[in-house]
Amino acid sequence: MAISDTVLYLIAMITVLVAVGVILYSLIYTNQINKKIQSGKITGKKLVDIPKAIMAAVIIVLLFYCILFALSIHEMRNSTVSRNDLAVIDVSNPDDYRYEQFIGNGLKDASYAVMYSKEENPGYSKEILKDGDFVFTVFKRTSVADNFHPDFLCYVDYQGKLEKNQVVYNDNSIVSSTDGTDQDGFGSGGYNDIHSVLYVGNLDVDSDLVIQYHILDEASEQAYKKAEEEQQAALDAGKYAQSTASARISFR
Amino acid sequence: MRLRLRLNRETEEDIKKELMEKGIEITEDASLILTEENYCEESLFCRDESGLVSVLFDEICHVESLGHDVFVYTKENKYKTKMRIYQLEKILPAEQFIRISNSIIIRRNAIRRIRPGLSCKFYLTLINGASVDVTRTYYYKFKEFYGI
Repeated sequence: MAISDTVLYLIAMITVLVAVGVILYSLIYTNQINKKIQSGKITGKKLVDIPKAIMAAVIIVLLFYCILFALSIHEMRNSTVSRNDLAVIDVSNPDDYRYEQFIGNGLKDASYAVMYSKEENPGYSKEILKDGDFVFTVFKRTSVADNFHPDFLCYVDYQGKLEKNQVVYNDNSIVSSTDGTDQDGFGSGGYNDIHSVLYVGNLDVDSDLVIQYHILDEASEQAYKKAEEEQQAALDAGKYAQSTASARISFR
Repeated sequence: MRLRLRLNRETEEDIKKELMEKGIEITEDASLILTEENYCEESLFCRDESGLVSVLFDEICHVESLGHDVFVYTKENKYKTKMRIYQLEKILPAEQFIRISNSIIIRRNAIRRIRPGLSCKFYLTLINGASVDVTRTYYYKFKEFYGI
């Protein structure tokens, strides 16, 4: 979660002001009590102790922080500023960056989750693909490419229910749009829970992103791992899966 | 006959003279004590290198207990007394003296400088140059005493 410079500046300023205030108060307090003791007068206003003053200052500062953070989070959630906080999208150099994957609770913090919506995104076309219990909500850029907007976003939601002995494997690959050959790939697996996932990335005109989810039960997962061990190579989990869902994102 | 006198200052000299005329020896070592009604002690008997000394309350800056010994400090001197701190706390006038820790009693107007601490403590510099601390246990009592 990014905190704006203004908020940081305010936090620093409040902290410094309160610290200076406490120091000044302690000097005034010391001076007053010394005067009182020298004069011998018991009557008169009693000043608040320094420990109590420090405690009050800490409470006030913490309250300020809480209010600032609450306002900052509220503003971030409502903001629709089209700004790439990650600053890694560079359309001119797609080789440097293909896609990022934000999973589950990370969606609440990811700048893309804040800036983009599953309902509608200006400058993008929307397409909903359903495969089994998986729903892929794909947004493809229709506006002119720039360094601040990704080519595509893809929200992945699972509407089914995993059994206790079932696990999910995820394979993503960049393939050629013309002949389907693999250009790049990434896989992960062994999750027994599926969270909402958001893919954000760039694609060349002749490259497609294929997102696949495989559901394996205990036996098929064991067979898959055994086969990988025997062959000493990464295998396609889809060949051992009970079910597979996939979506292909293309700009062709 | 030997007698020890505990009389108020106004009447002490006259009575002492009269008793001595009658042949009664007035000494601090005597076991028989003559005490006046409403007698208010104004001094404490202590010891230094020269022997037994009577130290007026007004001269006392602070009293400190170190181990088994109890020392009475004035502006320039240091004496020893056999009395315990808790006994001195009862003898010394409450409006003039205050206990600031388990081992120290100070006189009200013996403070030269006070510095508050961050955790319910005060650090005192007395007129005889000694540095003493008001501990947490006596912190609020000290504040009440001085009205700070």
